Amino acid sequence: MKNILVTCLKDETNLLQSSHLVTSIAKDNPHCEVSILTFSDLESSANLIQDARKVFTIDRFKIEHLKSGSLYSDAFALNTLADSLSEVLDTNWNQVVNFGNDQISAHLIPLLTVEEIAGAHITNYGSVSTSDRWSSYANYYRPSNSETQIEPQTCFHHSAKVPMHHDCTRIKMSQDFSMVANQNFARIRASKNGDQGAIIVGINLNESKTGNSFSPETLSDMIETFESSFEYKPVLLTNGSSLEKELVNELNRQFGNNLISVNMDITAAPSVLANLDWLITKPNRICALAEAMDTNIIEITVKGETSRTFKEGSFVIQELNISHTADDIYFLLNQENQTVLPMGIKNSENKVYSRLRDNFGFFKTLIRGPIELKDELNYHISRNYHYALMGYELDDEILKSLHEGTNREELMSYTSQAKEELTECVKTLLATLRSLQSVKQSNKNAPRFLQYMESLMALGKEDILPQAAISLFEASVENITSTDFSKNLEDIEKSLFTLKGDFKILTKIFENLLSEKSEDKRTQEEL
Amino acid sequence: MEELNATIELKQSRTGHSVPVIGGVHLHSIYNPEKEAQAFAASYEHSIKKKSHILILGLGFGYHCEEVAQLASKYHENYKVVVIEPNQELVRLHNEAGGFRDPNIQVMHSKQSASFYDSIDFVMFLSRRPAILRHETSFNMNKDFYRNFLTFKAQENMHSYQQLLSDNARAFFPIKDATVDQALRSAKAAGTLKEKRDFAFFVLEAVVNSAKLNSKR
Repeated sequence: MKNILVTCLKDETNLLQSSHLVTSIAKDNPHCEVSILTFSDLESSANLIQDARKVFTIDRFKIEHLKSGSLYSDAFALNTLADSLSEVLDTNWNQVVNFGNDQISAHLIPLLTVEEIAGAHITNYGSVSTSDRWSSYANYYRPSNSETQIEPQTCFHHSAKVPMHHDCTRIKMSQDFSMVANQNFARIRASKNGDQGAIIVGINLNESKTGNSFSPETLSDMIETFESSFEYKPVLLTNGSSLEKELVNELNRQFGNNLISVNMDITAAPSVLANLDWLITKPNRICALAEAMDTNIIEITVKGETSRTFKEGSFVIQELNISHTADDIYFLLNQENQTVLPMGIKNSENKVYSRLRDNFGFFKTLIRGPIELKDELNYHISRNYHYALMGYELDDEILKSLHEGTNREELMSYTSQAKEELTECVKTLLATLRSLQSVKQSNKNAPRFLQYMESLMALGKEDILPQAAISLFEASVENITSTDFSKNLEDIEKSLFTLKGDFKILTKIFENLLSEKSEDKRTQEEL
Repeated sequence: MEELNATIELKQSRTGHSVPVIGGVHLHSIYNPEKEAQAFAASYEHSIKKKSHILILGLGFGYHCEEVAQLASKYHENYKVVVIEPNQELVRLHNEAGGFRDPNIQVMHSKQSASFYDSIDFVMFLSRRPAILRHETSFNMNKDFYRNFLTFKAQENMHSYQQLLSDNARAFFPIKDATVDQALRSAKAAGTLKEKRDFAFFVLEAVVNSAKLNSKR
C-alpha cells in the first residue's frame, strides 16, 4: 500500500482544484492511499474529494489566536500545531505533493519522512528546491504571470508523474442532499420548454476571490432575458451571507417575488451543481467545485484575475465593458444550445474565450471580442515554447496557422521586436558565460560574473518570450546545493548551457513562423 | 487584605442560608443572601445577555453564581460560567454543602493566579472573551491575587513553559532558551539551518500568517 500526501495549505479554491490530481493518482495507483493536509476551516471541502482517504487538518485560527494573545502561553500554540501534525509526521510517505505551492508545505516537507517530493520545498540553505522542470515552472514562472500557458493542474500532474484522468468522479455527493435537490430541480425543469424541460442556468452570486461580483444591471438583464425566454430558467445560487440575501431580496422585488434561489453551503453545493445545465460564475470556490464536477461553466473574470476553469467545454468572458457581459453570455448559450436569446449588441468589447484541448493540453482561444494581435501571438507562441521547454516537440501546425492567419507585415513587426528581446537575452547569457570562465581563472572576477547573473535574472522578470526559460534557469541555480565553489560554478555553467539551448528553441520558432515554405504553399494553393 | 489562610466561619442568615465569614467579613448578606445574589445578577444582566461565557471572580458561597447561571440560561442555549477562587477551604466547604446543581458552572481553584493559565481548557474559555463579573467582597479580600490574575502575561521563553508542552510538541520543536520569535529570527539570520527541526518555527510562522491573512478578508 503506497501512501501519498497532497498538501493543500493555500486556499479553498486550490484545495477543491486538488481533486483532479487526487483522483488521477488514485485511478493510476489503485493500491495507494491518498491523504490530504489542509486547514480545519476547509475540512468540509476536503471531505468532498472523492479519493481522499484521510484528511489531516491544521487549525490555523486557533494557533494564531493562541500565539498572538499575551495571556496565553505559546506552549498551547506549539502543542496545537504539533498534535495536529503528529500522524503526518509519523507516517512514511511514498510521495508528498506540495499542491498548494505554499510556504507551510514548503517548510514542512523537509520534516517529513518521504521517498519522493513533487513540487517545491525549502532546503537547509533556505533556498527553494523544485522537484523537476514542471515544478520549477509552477513555482518560478506561473505566479508572476496572469496569463496561463500551462495551467498548474498540468504541471502538478507531471510533477507527481501521473496522467490526468478526464472521465472520473472527483467530488462526493451527499445522498440526502441529492435526493432533495433532484426532486426540486425536476420540478424547476418541468416548468418550461415542454417535454424537453427547461435549460437550468445557475447564477452564482458569490464574489470572486479578489472581491469582484456581478453588476446589478448584468444580473437584472440575465434574469429578465432567461425568465422571458421559452427555454431557460435561472436559479440564483447564494452562500447565505447577509449581503447575498439582500441582493436576492432586491432582485425578487424587481421580478415580483417569483425568482428561485438556492442557499447552499459547500456540502450541499455538489448536489445543486449536478442539476444545472450551465453555471454562470465569478472565479471562486464554487467555480472550482463545478470544474471538478465537469459542469458547463461560463466564468466571468476581470483583467488580471486568475481564471478557475481550465478544461475544454468551459468559457471565459474577460470583462472589459460590463454592459456587454449579459449579451456575451446569451451569445454563448445560443451557440451551445441552439437557442435565440435576444442580443442587444453584435460586437462585444469583452473578450470571450472558449477552453479547448490539443496534444499539449488545455488552452483557450478567443471566439468573440476585440483581437489584440500581439497578445494572441504571444499566448500561442509562448504556449508552444513553454511546452517545448518541458520536452515536447514544437507544434508546427500551430505555428503554421499563426503564420497563415496573420498579416505578413504584422508578423514581421512582432517577430522583429521579439527577436530583439531574445538577442538582448542571448548577449547577456554569453557575457555571463564569459565572465564565468574568467572566474575559473581568478576569484577576483566573481563580482563581474555576479553582476551579469543579476542582469540575466532581471530579464526573467520582464514580460518577454524568453521569460519562462530564464525562470527555469533561476530555478536550476536555486536547486544547486553544493558548498563547493568550483562544483557550483560547474553546475551554473551547465544551467547556462541549458538556457542557451532553450533560447535556440525560440529561434527555431521564429524561423518556422517566418518560413517562406508555408507561405509558398499557401500561394500555390490559392493559385 | 489577603485572607487565604484565615479560618472560615459559617453563619446562618435569617433566611437559613450559610454565609461564610472570613476574618470578620461576611461574604454575603446575613439577612437574605439569595435576594442579594439576584440583585448581583440583575446588575450584570446587560453583559450576561450579550455573552454566553461568564467569568466570576470570587466564589463566596455560590449564591450569586447560581443566579448568574440562571439568568444566562434565559438568554443562551449553551452557556458556561467559570468561577475563580483562591481560597481552597471555601471551595471545600461549598462542595461539602452540595456544590452547584447547574453543571454549566465550574469552580477553578489555585493560590497562584498564574497557574490558571496553564490549562488549555481555561485558555480556550478565555479566548471566547467572557464577561467578567466581580464578586466585590471576595475580590476585595484577595485583591492582589485577582489583580495578578487580571494583569497576567504569559512567559515567552520556551524553557519557562517546557512543562506545558505535549510530547508531540517536544518532538516537533527544538526547545531553546529563547522565545519562539527569537528562535525564528536566529534561524533566519543563520542562513543555513544547523538543526533540521528549526523548520518547525517556519511552519508555525507560515500557519500564523495564513490565519492573519484570511481573517482580514
